[in-house]
Amino acid sequence: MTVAQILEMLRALDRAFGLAGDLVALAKQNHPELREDPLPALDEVDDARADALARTRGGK
Amino acid sequence: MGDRRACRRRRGGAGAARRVVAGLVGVLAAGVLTAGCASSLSTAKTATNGAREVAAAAHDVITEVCVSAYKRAATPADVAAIDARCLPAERAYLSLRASWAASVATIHAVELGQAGDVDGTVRALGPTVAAVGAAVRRLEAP
Repeated sequence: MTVAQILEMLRALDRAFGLAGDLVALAKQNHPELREDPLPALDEVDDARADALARTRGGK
Repeated sequence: MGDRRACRRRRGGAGAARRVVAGLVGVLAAGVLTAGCASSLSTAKTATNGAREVAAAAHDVITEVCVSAYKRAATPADVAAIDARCLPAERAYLSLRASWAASVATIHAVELGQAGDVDGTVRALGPTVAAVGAAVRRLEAP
């Protein structure tokens, strides 16, 4: 059984017994879920810098 | 027993630091010090998630401060002055992002039964988190 399946089962038990997410919260406290969503690049900063370089060189 | 108490004390201290310094240095302490207290995948995941939290916060600060600064730049000297503050922060962020990804990969490998040094990978997050914290504090300084 995967972690996701276990959490889904706990969610179902939470709903069935009206525990308002207590079981899931407890499980996550003991077995934290690894956050894997990727961290973004700094594209906005790179674009702003490239723009500033072009602008200030052009203004010379 | 004494070790366990010391670990609890260190965890508590890290929580306070997290509130004081916008979560940056605090998460470093929590992640790295708790990794020293208990060698488990759960601890590694907590520390790795903490490093991710720091990185995400740093991303927002760097974007906010540096984009507006570059937009205000009027001369090449202005750009150079902004570079001196923003480029080190950018490098520190990218380094932390790479360390975080390595930590996630190691945790996955160990979960799949492959060999991997989870504690070592998590501890390696420490210097990169500290570097991001320092770079962001320099960015926010007047």
